[in-house]
Amino acid sequence: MTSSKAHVVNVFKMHGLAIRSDGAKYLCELLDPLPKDEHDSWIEKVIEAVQKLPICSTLISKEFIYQAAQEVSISENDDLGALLQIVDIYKVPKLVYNIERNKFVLAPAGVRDFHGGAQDKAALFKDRYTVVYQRTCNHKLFRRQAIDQDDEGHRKISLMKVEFLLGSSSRHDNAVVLGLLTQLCEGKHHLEDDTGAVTLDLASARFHNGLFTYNCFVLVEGWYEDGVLHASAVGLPPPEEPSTTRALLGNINYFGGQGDVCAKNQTRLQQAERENHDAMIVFLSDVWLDKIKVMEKLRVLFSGYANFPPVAFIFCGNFLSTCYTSQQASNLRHAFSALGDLIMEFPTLVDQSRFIFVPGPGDPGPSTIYPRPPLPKYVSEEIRRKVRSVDFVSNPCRILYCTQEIAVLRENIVSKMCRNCVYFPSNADDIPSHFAKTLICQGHFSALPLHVLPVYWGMDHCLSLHPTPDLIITADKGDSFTANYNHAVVTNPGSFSKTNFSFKVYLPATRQVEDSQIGDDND
Amino acid sequence: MLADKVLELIRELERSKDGQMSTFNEDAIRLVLEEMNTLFEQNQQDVNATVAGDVRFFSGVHLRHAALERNKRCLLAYLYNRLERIREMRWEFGSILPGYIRATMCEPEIQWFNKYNKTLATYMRSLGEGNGLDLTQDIKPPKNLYIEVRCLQDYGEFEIEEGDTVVLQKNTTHYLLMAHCQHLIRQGILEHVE
Repeated sequence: MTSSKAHVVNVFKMHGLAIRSDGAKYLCELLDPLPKDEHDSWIEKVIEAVQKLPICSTLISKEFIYQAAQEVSISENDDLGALLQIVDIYKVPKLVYNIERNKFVLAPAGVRDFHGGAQDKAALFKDRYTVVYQRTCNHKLFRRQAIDQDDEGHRKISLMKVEFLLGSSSRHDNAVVLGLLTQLCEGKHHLEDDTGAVTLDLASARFHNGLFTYNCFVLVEGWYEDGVLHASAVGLPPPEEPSTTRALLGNINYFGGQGDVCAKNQTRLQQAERENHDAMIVFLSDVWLDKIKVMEKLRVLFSGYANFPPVAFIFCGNFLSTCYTSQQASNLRHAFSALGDLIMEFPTLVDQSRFIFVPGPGDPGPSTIYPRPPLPKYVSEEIRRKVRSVDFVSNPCRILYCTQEIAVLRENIVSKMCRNCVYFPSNADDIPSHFAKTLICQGHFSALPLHVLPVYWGMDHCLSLHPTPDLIITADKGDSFTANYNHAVVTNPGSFSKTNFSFKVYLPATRQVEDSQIGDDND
Repeated sequence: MLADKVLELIRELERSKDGQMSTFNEDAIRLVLEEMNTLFEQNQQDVNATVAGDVRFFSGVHLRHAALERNKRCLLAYLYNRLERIREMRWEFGSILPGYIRATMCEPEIQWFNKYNKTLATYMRSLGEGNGLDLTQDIKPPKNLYIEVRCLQDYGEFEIEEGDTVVLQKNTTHYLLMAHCQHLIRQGILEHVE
């Protein structure tokens, strides 16, 4: 018995929807194999899914029914096997600020141009600025209050725009400006925001914590006279609690991946996270697969974890000790093939762990402009054939484990930032905390000039760290570190091959990063 | 002034009468809630002082409490009136709201709209001996069963219940059963020719 088309049309009509005849026919075909008494509940589910689709008319054609049916089948069949999700970096949603609604909303999805035009380059800085500016305005030091507090403890600061300073002829004490630190003409610092640029005098400035590079957004406090802003204090814009940011954004999927709602609010994932309190994620960087010693240590690593398979192993490049030779790609293919053989010796790992590979700056690929694509298929096809659970991902990449957001970047960003500092912090041994603060306050992976860390103009939002993720991994060849700031963990696993085979293990249940090392006595 | 901010919300509501929707003012609501928090904390302090025997602050507590109550009432009025308006829109626009209206609503409001939609549909299906009765149709009593309509845009094949199809092309006129084409008139695809 087929569910009659008239019935489907009627049910849709009761919901105020007009289904087109091809859509109704298609839905009837879908319903046909199912038991008759379940039809109504299935139709209801499809209607619910239809109403969530971005449609503007009550006319429902076959495509919408198709999409809705897909949604229904995904939500019905979702298994808990997909606790770890790898987000396609090229489909990461973009947040844009909507002035009318005073909030960030998702930009309409569509194909984004890698090689954007001039306006994309301007938009890159403007978008970064808007994020930082809105965060700063929402901070309790800067926000206008409903009740005027008369006690001295609450000093109100109001942000000024550069335009306002340039337009005034008198001296301004206590000017506070948020802007981009740049060098527009040689030998002079400038502070630039969306209204203009002003010359900055840093001679008597006191710098707060953080690494201040060119192209970094800073809050400058000082006095303004005769076209020059004399800074008395320079600091990073304040961070925003991730929970506040999420509350402001509402229940939208800003991180990317499946579904329309934020993973943080999904009870199913929250529960899964609590149940898997033994989960581990292992990070290694600079895994030189062509070194015999490295392969030996990897064998030790795998056999150590064979009885307690972690959720994922994340390997960051470079995957060869010498880069840029003519044989690089074929060497890499063989090295990965050997790694595949090694992994196959541990069937529990093959079954229960994921192996994720993030390309490094020296690995074969189009260029080191970010975001850069995964390693080419030629390199990865042999290991893919051997091990099912390998994923070659882009750099940077985003990973969602249950409700925890993880952002990974393989780039020597700490050393680059230290080298490009306008002012190097006096307590240099505390670089990790300076670095973590800078990254999170900027809300972006890169606070560096575009010639130091090139970014595809149209894809800049892929490097965004707003709202602050739970775990930020910046795999750097320098010393390993772990720093906590603003409820996030920033960590660098350090070079596996160079630093006596040390790596990091992240425990999502306690949000702790553990240092690990494979010493010589182990084998 | 106390409870000044919340009056802006009410004014906004008043300004956007006759079926319009103003944007959900998250910012103002947040400010009001913050104000309420501060008022509450200040009250808490003074109440503690009063309990301890110092009665000087007692009238201040009353004033703040009145402001708190007023804020609460105004916020609830704001939310309730918006919901009323959203309910009206279900009958006006049908179950899919135009994008520009959807953009003015906040997430819980959209959820409420969807739930209302579902409740209404369940109720309408329970009427009319298993066939359902579309209550949103014939809001005005019809004069004729059949009406003459003109197409305003290319729509394509339109199926009438018995399996007949009509091709609706721009600028063609048809003589159709009113019940069938009413939703198309509301969407602006057809126009009723008097």
